[in-house]
Amino acid sequence: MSRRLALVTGGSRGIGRAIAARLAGEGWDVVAVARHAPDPLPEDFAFRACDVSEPEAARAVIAGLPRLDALIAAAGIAGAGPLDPSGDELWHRTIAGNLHATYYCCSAAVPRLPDRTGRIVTIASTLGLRGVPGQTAYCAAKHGVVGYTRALALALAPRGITVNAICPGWTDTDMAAQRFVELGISREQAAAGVPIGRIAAPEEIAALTSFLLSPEAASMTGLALPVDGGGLASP
Amino acid sequence: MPSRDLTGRRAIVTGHRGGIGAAIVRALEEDGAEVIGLDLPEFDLADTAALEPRLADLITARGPIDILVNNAGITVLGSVLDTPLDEVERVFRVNFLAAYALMRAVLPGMVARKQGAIVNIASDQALIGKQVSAAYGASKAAIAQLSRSAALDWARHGIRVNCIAPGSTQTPMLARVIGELAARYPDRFAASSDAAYRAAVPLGRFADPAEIAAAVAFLCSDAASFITGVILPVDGGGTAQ
Repeated sequence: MSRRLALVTGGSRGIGRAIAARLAGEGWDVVAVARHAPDPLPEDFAFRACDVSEPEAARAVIAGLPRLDALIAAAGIAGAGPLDPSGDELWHRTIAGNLHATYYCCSAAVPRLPDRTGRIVTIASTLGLRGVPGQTAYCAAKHGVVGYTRALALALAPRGITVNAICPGWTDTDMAAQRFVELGISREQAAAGVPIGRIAAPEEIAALTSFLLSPEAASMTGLALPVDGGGLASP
Repeated sequence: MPSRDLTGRRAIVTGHRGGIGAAIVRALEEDGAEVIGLDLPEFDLADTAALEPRLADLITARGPIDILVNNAGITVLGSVLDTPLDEVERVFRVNFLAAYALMRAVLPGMVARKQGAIVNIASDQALIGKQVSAAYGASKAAIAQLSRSAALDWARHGIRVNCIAPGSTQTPMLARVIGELAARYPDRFAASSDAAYRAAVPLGRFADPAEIAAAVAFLCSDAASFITGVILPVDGGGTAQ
């Protein structure tokens, strides 16, 4: 029997890379895609350069896979969000990089996933479940990812394919580090705002992803699961 | 790498003789935990007055607890007018007060050792309303909210508190409920097979108790080290609708 194949978008760094590495370690064949190749290239999983916010590119990379058992849509971009029309470009780029990219990949994956064992995990954000004033576009995009995930889960339920969103809080990634700079806060200040007192490791997001891909999680679908150290328990 | 292994951890599981409870015990033991079950007939969780001293004695005898799974629950069907206060009290004693007492019993040891995981088993009725389930639904919403509040209180002490919200799960309790609904409310709930109930689940089937247990074991383990204060539905897509 051939090994199961997982496609991880946003797989060059951060959460996507941790997911790709974990799944490879668990015996999956993993193909990671991202706009830019990591240097050095990973040794434990395959990498292909692809901007999944471009529909033809996303569809081509999925069409080129020999098979597909699981899609992990982890590609995303930061983008605070405009409050006036001067920010149209930022608005559209943020929605495209988070929501459209997720849609392009999921819709291309749906016909290829096997019934009963197929799996989709989208990486949303706690900002997909709550509002943050300086993050209008990002919140809109991630709420969109959550809504799309729930509806897609119901659409694919008759095939026994599960679709779930993971909603990470602050996670120790390059993207978060960049946000700390933009917000003028330190990593420690961010950690102090989390009930558990620290930010997440990307490996902790990967651990839940791994569980959601397992046969044990076959009854879990349409969920938006926070991995946020208690953040959403107390908005 | 955050691991599922529970070797060396001591767990209490209430209601361990029920359908879901027995599966939870199996899952925790498979992952290496030592499990203490509390259930009828020898341990009556509804006997609220006796609970705290009995639990103190148990922990003195067996040692500190790393994992608590408040799984025991009873159902009572009925609207507000159908359910007298003494019935509501009985449901809350088992579904809420016993879980609360268990948390009071294990938390001091968890705080002292700066580690612990608590999982409360609620119901999808913690998140959605169902007909003729006034007392039961309220008791499950109560335990879910307690989970969130306690998660915040103990987050800085290395203790995680989460809640699982199972949808319809293939257990004797579910079979009883389906039968009783048809018998007591024939105008609203058709008799016959449970096919209609399965069809109401997006995945088209009930959960297996082992699937609830797997989620419990995951949340109890270090694989869930950043997950706290979460209500996790295991419901075949029911609450996504």
